[in-house]
Amino acid sequence: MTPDTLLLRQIHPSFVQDGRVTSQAFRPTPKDEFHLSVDNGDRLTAEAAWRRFTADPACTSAGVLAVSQSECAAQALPVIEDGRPHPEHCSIDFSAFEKKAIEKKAKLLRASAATRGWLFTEAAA
Amino acid sequence: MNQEFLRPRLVGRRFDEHSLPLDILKDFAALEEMLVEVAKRQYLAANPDRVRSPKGFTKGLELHLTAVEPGSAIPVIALVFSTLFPSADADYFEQAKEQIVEAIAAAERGQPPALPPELLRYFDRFGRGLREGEAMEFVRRTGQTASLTPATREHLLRASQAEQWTEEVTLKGRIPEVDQADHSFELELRDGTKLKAPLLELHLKTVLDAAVGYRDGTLVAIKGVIQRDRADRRKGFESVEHITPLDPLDIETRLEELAQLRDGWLDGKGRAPERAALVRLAQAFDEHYAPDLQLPYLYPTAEGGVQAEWTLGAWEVSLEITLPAMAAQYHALHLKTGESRELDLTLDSDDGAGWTALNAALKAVQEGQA
Repeated sequence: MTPDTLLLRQIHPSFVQDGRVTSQAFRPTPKDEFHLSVDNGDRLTAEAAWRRFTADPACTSAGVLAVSQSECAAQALPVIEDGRPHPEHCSIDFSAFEKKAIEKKAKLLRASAATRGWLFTEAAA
Repeated sequence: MNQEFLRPRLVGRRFDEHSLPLDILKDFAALEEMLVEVAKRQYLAANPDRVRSPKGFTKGLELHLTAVEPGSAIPVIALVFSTLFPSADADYFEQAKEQIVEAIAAAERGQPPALPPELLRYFDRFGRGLREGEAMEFVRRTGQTASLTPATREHLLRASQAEQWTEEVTLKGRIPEVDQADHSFELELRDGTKLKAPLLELHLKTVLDAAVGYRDGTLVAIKGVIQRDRADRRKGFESVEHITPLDPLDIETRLEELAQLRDGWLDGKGRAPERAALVRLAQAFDEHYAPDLQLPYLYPTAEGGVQAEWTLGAWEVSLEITLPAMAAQYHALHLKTGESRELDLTLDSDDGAGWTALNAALKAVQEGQA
């Protein structure tokens, strides 16, 4: 992984309104134990990541946005190449921070991802 | 001369100001027609030798609204005669009123009403203007109250054996198709149902604009009368009163969308927000949110709440609302300077103080967007 590596994030359809994505998409939910699931964009295309994710009938995604490894590093967020539940899987680790700090970092990550734009959308599938 | 005839009590939010929305007067016009028909039946029952009521039976008899009294609102309706003395036919009106009130009372108890089916069909228009939570209360001869509500009206219409009846509605959706030759268009509801509607010249531009924006999700709200069948299926618009283009960020519409979520909505996780709490939140936004502020984007939270967000220049603002408590955490972050502003707000207090603070905080950010 390099600083330019894109970390692919699946965006739930309810987290999009009129094309705008919520900052919640870039912070772990309480059940995620402070780890935000992403895929390593050096090893997987956005489309392939979307197809694998949505192959599970329990999972839905409006598309794929991304933040880079360096954008995470700028927020002091380690990226763990955990390889689970699939080899390209990574986790952005928020465990060192309190709720308010997490909210702030999520806003900054959302802004970076929104500036980069959609890498893949359901409409293109 | 005139004599007081009816004092129904109208109950519901719309009547709290002790006044009557003009809309509801249509229902009383329908009641007048129903009274005439029921009175004719009464006459024929009392005069079995007659095959029809006398010519001019109701001539010179009219119902007039003479006052609106508080409580929530009580319209005072008088029987007006063109003659100096009450017409002898007025007795049949009194009997007709009693029969109608007794039919309502029977429906309220879940019993079959005594009026014949063809007369019960007048409830298609009488009572149609009532919304959920509203009622028209009539005093029975016994002193008890008979309450006409949307539910009792439906019971009466089902008893009328009508195949379909009408309802006043406001429905939101997109317009996928316009047929100018047929003077009609279709409204596509969120669940995919398509309802045909008549296209009036005065609505043409709004409808065409909405059809052009179909793929972009352009929404309209249509107020009108729809037909519904016995199986509770909507059959199409009978008439259209208003068509209003909706803002893409319309708060009520978005919260209605979020009300469709079920537990597990977030890829197996995620609690669904409570429907009643969303309705309350929509009302609170409607009553307290400053109209000159940019509308928020609204998203569900995994915990069953709602998160409002604004992008105001370099400021990213979020308001995480816990439901049903309506406690909220406001957080604004300037993306360039890192300046952060936070507030804990209560959005369900009677004095609206939480909303005042939210409006002020957003205004400060909006005015200094740089």
